[in-house]
Amino acid sequence: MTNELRDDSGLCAKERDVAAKVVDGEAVLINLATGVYYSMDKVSGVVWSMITNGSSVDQLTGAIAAHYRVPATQARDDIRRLVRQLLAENLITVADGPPPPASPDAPMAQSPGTYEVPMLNRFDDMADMFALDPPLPELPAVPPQNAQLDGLDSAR
Amino acid sequence: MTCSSSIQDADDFWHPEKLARQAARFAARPELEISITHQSTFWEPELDDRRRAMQGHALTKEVLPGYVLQTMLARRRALAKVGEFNPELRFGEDTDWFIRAQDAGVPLELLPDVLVTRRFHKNNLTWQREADGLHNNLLDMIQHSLKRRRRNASDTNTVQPESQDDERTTR
Repeated sequence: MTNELRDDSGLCAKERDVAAKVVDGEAVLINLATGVYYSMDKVSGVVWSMITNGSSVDQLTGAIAAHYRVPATQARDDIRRLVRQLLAENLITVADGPPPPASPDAPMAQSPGTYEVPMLNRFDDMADMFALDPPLPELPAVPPQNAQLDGLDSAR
Repeated sequence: MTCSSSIQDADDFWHPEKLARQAARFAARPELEISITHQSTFWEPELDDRRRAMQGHALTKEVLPGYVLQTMLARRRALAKVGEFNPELRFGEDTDWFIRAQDAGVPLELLPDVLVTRRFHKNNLTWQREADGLHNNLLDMIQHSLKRRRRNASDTNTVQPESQDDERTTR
């Protein structure tokens, strides 16, 4: 069951279905079930980093508005829209409990100070490529059948 | 016919007409540089439990587009454009190669024909992959691809000195 989104709800990444990494302020995400991948850079990269820490829309709004010196109403509208997109793409979920206390603004350090409307860039051009060599669900390891074949590197 | 290469794994099967059908596509489309096919899969009974546990996963589909080396026939010039496999990747090196081919704009055709059968058994390296490392590799590939495409778009929008033109066309 999905919790209803409220501005004071904690958010969290869907870690089982989504792999993500932030490098140089840009978050790259892939939906492991669909092969669709996403890029979130600049302000949205900061938003992603804060969501992985469990932040709420309220906390995101406060931090973004203060850091980029934009009106809170503008920041809130932009963040709500982005969060709804992330929910629609099954990349995040609304947490059961309240968000943790706001953390120091470490994600801001890598982001330049100019505000740009945070965007979720969606790409589906590689889904077929990922289909045959996909990330696997967490299952127990399969031991090799016999020692003679242990070194059969070509047995993909 | 120009020089072309193909790679087969020891545990998979090719349809007897695979290479002939792909060579015919190269003859029909001289600009085509990579031909891949669809592939089917079959699972050895020793993996019945795993197959059930993976119900709905892409690997359990009977037919898939074959973005793997076993289905590929590539002209030599395609191999030169895309470059070598990344030796740092123990898994996913073929996926990385296909992504780089796409980014380089190398003409590729996916045949609807199912010309490769992939066999799943207990000794597939596929089962030895560790999830965290694999995901990390995949994300690195995507990020590098995004950077390449941005750089290419930037190059396209920039007037290049004449001396660099030849180099750019060989990417």
